[in-house]
Amino acid sequence: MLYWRFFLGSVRIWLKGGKGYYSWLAFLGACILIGVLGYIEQLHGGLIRTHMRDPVSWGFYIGNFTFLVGVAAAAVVLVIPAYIYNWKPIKEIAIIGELLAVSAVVMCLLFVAADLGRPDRAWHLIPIIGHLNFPSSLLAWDVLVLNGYGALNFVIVTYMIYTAFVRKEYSKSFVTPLILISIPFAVSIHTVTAFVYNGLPARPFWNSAILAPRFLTSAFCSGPAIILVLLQLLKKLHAPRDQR
Amino acid sequence: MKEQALTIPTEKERRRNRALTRRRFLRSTVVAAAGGVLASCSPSVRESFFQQHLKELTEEDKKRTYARLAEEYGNRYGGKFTVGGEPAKEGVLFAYALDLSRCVGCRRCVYACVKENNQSRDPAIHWITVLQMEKEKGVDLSHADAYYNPKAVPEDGHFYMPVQCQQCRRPQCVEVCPVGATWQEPDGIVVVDYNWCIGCRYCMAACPYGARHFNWSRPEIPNEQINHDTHYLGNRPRYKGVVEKCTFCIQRVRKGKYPACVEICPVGARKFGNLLDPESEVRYVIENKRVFILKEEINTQPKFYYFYGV
Amino acid sequence: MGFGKIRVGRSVAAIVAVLAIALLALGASAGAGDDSSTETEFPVPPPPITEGYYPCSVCHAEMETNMERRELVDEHESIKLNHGPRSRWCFDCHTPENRDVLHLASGEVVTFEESYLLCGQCHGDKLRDWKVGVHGKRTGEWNGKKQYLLCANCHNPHSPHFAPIEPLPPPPRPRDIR
Repeated sequence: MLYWRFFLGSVRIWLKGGKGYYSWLAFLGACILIGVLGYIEQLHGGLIRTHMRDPVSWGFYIGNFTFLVGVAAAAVVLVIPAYIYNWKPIKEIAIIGELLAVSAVVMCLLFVAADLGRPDRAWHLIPIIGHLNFPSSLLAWDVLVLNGYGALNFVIVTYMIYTAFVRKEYSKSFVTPLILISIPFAVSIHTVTAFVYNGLPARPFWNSAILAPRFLTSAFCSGPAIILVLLQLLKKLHAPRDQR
Repeated sequence: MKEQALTIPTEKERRRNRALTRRRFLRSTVVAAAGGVLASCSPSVRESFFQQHLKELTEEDKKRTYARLAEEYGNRYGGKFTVGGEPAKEGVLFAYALDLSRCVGCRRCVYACVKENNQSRDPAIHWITVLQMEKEKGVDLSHADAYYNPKAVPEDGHFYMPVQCQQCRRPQCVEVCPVGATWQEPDGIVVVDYNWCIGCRYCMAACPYGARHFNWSRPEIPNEQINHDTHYLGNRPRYKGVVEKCTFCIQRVRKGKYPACVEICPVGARKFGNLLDPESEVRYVIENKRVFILKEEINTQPKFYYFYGV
Repeated sequence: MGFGKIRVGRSVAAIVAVLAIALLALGASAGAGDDSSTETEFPVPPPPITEGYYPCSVCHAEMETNMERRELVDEHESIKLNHGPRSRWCFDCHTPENRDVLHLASGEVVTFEESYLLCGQCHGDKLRDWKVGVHGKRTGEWNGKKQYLLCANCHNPHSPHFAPIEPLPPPPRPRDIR
């Protein structure tokens, strides 16, 4: 079957590489292993291991979550010109931007999951099966837009890579509507994250009308910045010799 | 309820019923799927994992849940537990009044509360925080000290302000909870379902009074200090990773008793009663004394009144 | 609290109760009718009289009354009078003719159980608040039977100021929670 071949082909590409590539994978694997061991320790002992306490009950996890939401939202900056104006030169970059968005959203969700006191009850967040407190809770909005944005980008980028894999032209009528939907989603993931903070009368220092636009602008800086760094590295490592 | 069953259901009701059956179907499918994964677990673990939101449990389910919890607690702490679920009384809205001109800051209430409500001893969780403030500065939270520890209180030039859950009429913690694990009961008490809370701590960020506390690790209570008379929404022992808070001693006040902090206060600074009863202490205080509420400007509308009884 | 030693046994309480009823029966006080109603309204614990001291008349009936203002040396030496103006003296409240009861400024006799009436002569605002349960502590049920405390259960009538007490330990600082 074609999809199965696509999957296997992707895995094959993923496993192919030089010494440098494998050592990089090993390094990342080691990082993940340390993280997993730390998380097991936290599961066992409780969140007391994080040294967060009642007065400051949100820390590094939520800080990272906020940053990565910005990175994820930034993908849309590249996506808009690529697909709406059908501007070819930026298209490959847009795919990288979307891949980055998907991985950033996954990391966001993992950070939030790691911050939960009872990860075994995360299913309570699923509408119908659980009891999502929508629209009252802004965190419920965040759950919806983050998962929605992640799913949209995943579908778009998988479809794009799939068409490249089978060497076909992608169908614009399928991609463009999804991209159009993903634009408000990209804006909303970061504004909603800002509203999560400044919707709290209890925290006057967070009560700033400028917080949401500020988050957006900083997202539009940090996201492309990461993409630029990434592209420089890709250019150094993967481009044909004459183009380096 | 009985009367409702006799009448013909309206379109809205019918739609709701359909939604409910759809819900139930979806739920049972998912539960069946997940059940396979958890088949190897003990029945008690499985049951507590799949326990539904308290408001969606039938009376029968509730009874079974309470019995299961009582047994679990008995196994862990020893002794015979009662896990009650007394509902709110009609025509009752609980309110609290605290006399700032009387309080001497002795912290008797803090520890009476810890004992009554089975708060974790290690790490220590206190639902009541007593703040020491300077008389010259007035009620100024930025100059408050919760860690004062002199030989004797009250200290000259200082007054004391115990802060606990203010039982807001517009509770921010309830609004922000993403899973609806905390809500306001008809008698005005804001409660937490410790079996539904996912431990995201958004409510702690949203509470202007620092009244919510998190079980950062497994709560430890010596077996001989446990209070066996518990309420599902109140003082039953908590789990690691969930949020808890003052419930006006729901297990006591729903049976007509005063909260533990009121009974222990050596200077009688703490007043409690039904806001809807014109004869109650709190009504007298509001009508006759100088009263204020904490952080009035954020419009949480607490039912916890500070007053000067002088 | 320097006040703890003042306690009273059950037997003493019984005697007090019997005496109060006897007094009412005798119609010794003009406001007897009112008093019986207030008694049911404000259920109070027995007054904090040092054990073995009541009834006072056991000793005082035989003794001659010395109206002179002086320092007590033979008995009651623990009582340090520090209440209101210096001119205050025992017989402002205690009755010279019958030590088992107190009296109001009007001369009206009150029992130790009704001593709040005596206190209320000067501290009327406190008495008003006390009656509705706002001054002082009430225990029992918020919508049912309540237990009051007499003024003297908390304040030493001879020296009513509260003595400072030792606070219980402060909460741990966040950095100390491990």
